[in-house]
Amino acid sequence: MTDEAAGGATATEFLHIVAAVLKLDPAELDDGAGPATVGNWTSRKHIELVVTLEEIYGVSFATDEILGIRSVCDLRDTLRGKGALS
Amino acid sequence: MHDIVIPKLNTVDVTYTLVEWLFDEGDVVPPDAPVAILETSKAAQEVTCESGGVLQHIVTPPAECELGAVIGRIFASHEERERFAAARTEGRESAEPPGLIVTKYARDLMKRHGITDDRVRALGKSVIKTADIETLISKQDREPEPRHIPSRAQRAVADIVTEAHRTIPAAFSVVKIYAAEALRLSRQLAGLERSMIGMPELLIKCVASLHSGFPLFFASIQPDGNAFPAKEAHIGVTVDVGKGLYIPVVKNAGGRPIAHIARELMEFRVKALRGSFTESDLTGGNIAISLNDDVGIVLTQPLILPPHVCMLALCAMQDELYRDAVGELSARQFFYLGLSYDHRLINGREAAHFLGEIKKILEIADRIRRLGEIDGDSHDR
Repeated sequence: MTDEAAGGATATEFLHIVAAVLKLDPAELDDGAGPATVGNWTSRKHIELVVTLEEIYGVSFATDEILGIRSVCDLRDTLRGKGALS
Repeated sequence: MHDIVIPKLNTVDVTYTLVEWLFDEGDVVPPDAPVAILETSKAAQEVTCESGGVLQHIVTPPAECELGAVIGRIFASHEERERFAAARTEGRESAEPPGLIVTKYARDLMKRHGITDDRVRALGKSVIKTADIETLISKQDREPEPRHIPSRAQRAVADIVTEAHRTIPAAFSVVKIYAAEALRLSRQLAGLERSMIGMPELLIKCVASLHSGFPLFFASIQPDGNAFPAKEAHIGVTVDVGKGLYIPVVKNAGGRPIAHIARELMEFRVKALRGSFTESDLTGGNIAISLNDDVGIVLTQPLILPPHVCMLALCAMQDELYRDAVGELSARQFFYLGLSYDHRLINGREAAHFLGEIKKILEIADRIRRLGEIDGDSHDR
């Protein structure tokens, strides 16, 4: 498997995790999806997402990062910044 | 000389744990400096000392300390502290209990079975024989029964619940609230404010707006039944992210924009996750909301946190079918809002008015929109 393919698989896995927490079909989540556009993405679900992603990827989000995440894209970028996603 | 005393940090605990000293014995401590860390059932808190001087520890951490206990002393000079420390050491040595007399066979048995002097001393005998050690061994070898020991935080929750049921003659009412307008505003604000504003945040703001019209609901009731009204609405909100139940307080919720409240609530959830609450986050409330909006939770009867007069319970969103104005079947969302109230101060009529007012604010577009503005107590009865 190439690096690119491996990165793609990781990104797909990430989207499946987010969708599972929000109880949605991954196809319903594009990069811009966030609390403002997804009804299920409540403040409680936001914390649930953080806890789940921290456990799976073995990372820790700072408070400002948690408060600043507003979309799937923000979440993915934050995980990439921690080296958890390629 | 100045005593460092365990202060009262909350209304729940009767003891706190001295976790650590922030200065060594003999250090010179400046005035008003934090000198030690105490742990309550829910948070860690610094102990400050008004007077500066030379520090002497009285209690060695970790140790459980009662309110008012002297844990350390501040002296004016090193000489004064050293005199005190020397006198204390002498006193401690003279207070040592006399040595035990343990027979040779008993001592051998103790060694073989790892029985300490402390356990033997606890028998309260001056001469220890083989039979005494055999009794201890038989107790030691017995398989301990499986048991669940609640955490300190959980014991504090249990104490509050017990106290509430013991002292408060509570009654309960519930109202059904249609959520269309609240959900619409929530979506609008999420886009405008870039904040996660859902039903809990709207309800906090809504309840705060009723402070001036319903002062008794925000009062503190005393054991004699008299109540003191509150100057502002400080709203406790249950937060449980799987690390224990906390009730942090949104201070002055009536005078703050809803986006600030939403951010603070999210910060509280992060603190619950990280276990980083301070006592100031958890104290000072005069009314509380229990968030029971997990899917499928239809109705919750909250308890009342002494000395509060009432507590609300926000339950999960539900769907129902109804016939619209032209007779067509449509779906709509609603939730139940429960109110437990202290019957010493509030009767069913006032409770119904209070819940009715919340229902009107959350269901009527013109009224709920005001919650998104930076207003104070604008919704009078």
